[in-house]
Amino acid sequence: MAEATAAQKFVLDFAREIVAELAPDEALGLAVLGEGFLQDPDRVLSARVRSGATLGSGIDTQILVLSPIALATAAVVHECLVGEVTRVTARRVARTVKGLRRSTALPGEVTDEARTAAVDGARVLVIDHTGDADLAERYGQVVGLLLERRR
Amino acid sequence: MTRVPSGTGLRFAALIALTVSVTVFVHGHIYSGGLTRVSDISDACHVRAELYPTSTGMADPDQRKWDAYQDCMSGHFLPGLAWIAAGLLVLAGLTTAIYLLSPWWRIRRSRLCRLDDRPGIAELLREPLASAAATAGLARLPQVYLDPAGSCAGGVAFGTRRRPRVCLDAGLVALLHQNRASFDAIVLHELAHVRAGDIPLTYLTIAVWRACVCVAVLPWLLYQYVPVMRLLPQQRATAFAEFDVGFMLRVSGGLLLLAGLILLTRNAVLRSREREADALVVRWTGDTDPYRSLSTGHRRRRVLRWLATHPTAAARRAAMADPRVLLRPGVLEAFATGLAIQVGFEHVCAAMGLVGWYQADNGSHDVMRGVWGLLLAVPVGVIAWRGAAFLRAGGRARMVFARSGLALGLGVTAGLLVHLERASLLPDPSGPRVVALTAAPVMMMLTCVWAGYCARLLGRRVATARGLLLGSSLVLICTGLFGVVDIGLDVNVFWSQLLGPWLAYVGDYGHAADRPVVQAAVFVLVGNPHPGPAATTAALAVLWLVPVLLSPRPARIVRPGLLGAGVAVAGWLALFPVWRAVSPGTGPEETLIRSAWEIAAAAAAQLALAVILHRRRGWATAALGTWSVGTAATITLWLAHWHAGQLDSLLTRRPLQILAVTGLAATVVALGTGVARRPASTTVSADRRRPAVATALAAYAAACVASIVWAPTSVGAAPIQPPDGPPPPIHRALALTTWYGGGGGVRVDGIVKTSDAWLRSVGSKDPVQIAAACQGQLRALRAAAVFPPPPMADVRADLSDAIAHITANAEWCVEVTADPTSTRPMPDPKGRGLQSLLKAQRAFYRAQLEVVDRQVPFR
Repeated sequence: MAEATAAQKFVLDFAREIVAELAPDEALGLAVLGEGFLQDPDRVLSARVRSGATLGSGIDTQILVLSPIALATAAVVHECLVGEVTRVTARRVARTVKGLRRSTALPGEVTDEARTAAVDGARVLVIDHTGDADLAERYGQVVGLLLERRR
Repeated sequence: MTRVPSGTGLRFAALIALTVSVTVFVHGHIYSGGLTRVSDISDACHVRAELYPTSTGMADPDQRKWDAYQDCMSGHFLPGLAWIAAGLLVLAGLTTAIYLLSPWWRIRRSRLCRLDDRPGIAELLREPLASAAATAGLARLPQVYLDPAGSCAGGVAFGTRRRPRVCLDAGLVALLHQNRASFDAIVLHELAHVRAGDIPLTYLTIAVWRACVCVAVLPWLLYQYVPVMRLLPQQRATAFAEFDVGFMLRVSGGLLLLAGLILLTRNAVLRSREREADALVVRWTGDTDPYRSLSTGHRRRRVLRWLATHPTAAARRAAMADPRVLLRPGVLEAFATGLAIQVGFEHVCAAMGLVGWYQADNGSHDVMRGVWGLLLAVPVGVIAWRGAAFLRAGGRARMVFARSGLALGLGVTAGLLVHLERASLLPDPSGPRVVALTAAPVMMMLTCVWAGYCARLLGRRVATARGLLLGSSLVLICTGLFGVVDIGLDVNVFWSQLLGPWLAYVGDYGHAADRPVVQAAVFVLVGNPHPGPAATTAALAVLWLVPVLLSPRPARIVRPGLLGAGVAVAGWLALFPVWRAVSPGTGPEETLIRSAWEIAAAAAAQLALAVILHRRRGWATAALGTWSVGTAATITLWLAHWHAGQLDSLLTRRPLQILAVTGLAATVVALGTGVARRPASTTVSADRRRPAVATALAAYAAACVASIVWAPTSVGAAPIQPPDGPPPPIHRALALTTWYGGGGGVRVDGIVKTSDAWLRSVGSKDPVQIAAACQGQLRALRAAAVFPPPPMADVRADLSDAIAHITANAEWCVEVTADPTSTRPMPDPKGRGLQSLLKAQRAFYRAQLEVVDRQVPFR
């Protein structure tokens, strides 16, 4: 894989922080999954299970449950912080992540507006992706907490 | 002790054989119809030899026509073979390319990354992976890849035989710290695939299937639907394609159905490999449910389970809880194997027929019959071997051998009905055909039960001389008893043209009470369509010989068998004076009737003996006893009917040919009467076999078979065969279709096209164009005039009339265009020639419709 851009590194780092807060068990898997997310976000976020691969294990238990959403949330947060997009739906995450490959913009100072936008964006994304309002609220709280630490 | 075969390799081989045979068939057809100036080489040779299908279905008895036909076909053998070989070479090349490139494609498509390129993760996984490789008994760990986009706890084995690879999902990496036991189980599952050699077998089969789609399936569909694929512009469109969509759908649907069956079978094999891999994981870990904390597969509907490449969670758990079930021969697998063998065999025969090798009188039928017997003996042997191992391991299941045998036989029957040569025909459920097609699976079921019995007698040591004996016996049985199974579809012809007339003829002998007895004897004598009755008799002989030779105590079978036979023969001999008293005449007819009664009495003695011996000593003793009655009766009948070096009855020429069959039937009936009180042991105990007894029995069986090969003559006896009637008439529709497809159609089309061009040129009023059109018309007419005429008189007259009149007009046209001052009138101004041509074309059209719509078998 080519060297990650600064924007991509931000997404991976922020996702790692989210996972450390919400699902520390997934940290090791996230180290690998993050690379796949930057390459093919659609496949990582897809709910489709490939349990029927020829000579595959046939095991379709999803181990990394929160990591894909954490990565998508981190991408949304990045977009909100650089002020480009205020609302990223699950469908648009892939385009956003692909844009990170060429993005040179780095998040600047975390303003109240940017923080609020990122928290709202994270909530919308998680609801859009999972339909779970409680999980969306938790993601929103964690994003808010992490951005607060960065001030 | 030899390792019990899993059956997967066999099924993979069957699938590969199927794809190869489809390729052979398609390229044989493309050669036959696409590279020549006629539609079908075989038809062209039929036309040249004036050899046309008869309305009775029997072959034309004129040997000169057959010689001319074979002489014509012989010129196409090597070019046809070269064309087919080229198709197979392309298949092999494409298969190799797909096989070798598939790992690269998988890595590229899924963006897999090498574990070694991720030092941090590699360091974490080093110890667990090394430990798993050691557990799996692998000398070195395969190359490991990571799927960074996989969030599940999945893995996959892929690669080639030399470079096996294993890919782990990102989710599986996360599982390492969450649940080490589950991580190990999944990694071991993938390594089990490597260890069992599944990678080359699986991916090679997938590759050969994909290559077959490119090299055979797509060309076949294109060949059927796109006329430009016929390679030569002179080629007329494939017969019927223009007007019978249903026919074309059946032809193409047959191929697609076959493709679907191959796919289903392939997936069934993949599922079985998964269960085998799970069983290895259980053995290595000692845990009967190593994936308990993980879900293994979605719950699927029944149909989707057949499509899936992985078994359901329940099936996997069942296999892991009791790995013995993996030894049990599967019903669906047996069905698929039978289907694959039969379809593949029919395709190869059809292709060899198209290039002129598979003909009735050059020994090719005997060769292919032997090949077929060998092909079928392999799955029968595997079913027996695995079923015996399953039972030996303590497995409990009802009818282990019978179910698989029945499925194998049903697969063979289904293969007869669905292979591509027959795909265009709807099933014809007429009486004799249904009986024949039903008998084959039942006989195959009995054969598998027999083979299973023998395999249990054989024990664990299969790779021995005794194993070879059983194997070669299976080949003999499959050749001798099933070598003519394909006649099942043509049994109507066999019945109406051969057996029926013979039975009707002998039905005139004697009184009403005598007729069924004589007819029954003749039915058994000539009812076996196998051209080599000695092969059938030998196959029946090994049915009792092999169990005796494999038995740990052969004397327990031989002694009561021979003793019982002696008593039965004594009883039968006591009836001899009765026959002489009832039928004292010495004429040929009376002698024939008396011999039929004598044989019937021997068969009754066999039945009584079989029931008694089976209940007391088991079926093997009963089979030996009935056979011995048959041989004793044969010798007695020869002596009783011997007059001056000849026999006085045709029925007493080869009584054993009848009594061997009745003996087997009596044993089967006895099997249905109940369970033996003291069945022969199927466990191998201390070796107490006596070589002398075995040698004597083998010599006895060989002598019996020799008595079929050599038999006394019976000149002057009452005939059982009706006298030859007039030669069968030609089948109008088939004959016209053959003529049309054999080159006649090209000639007729040529006249139509050039006549059309002439009419258009007249419209242009350009003398040069008109002259050219007339000359073209003359060329087409001369080509049609020298071609053999159609086989039916009315069509021949119409076509001849058409050629004469249109030729006259064309010659007039050439003359008038060359000399515009000519005042000669047009010879056929009313277009009588074109009307006759139209009439002839209608006859061809109707004939083709009849062949297609009424399902007349074309060959």
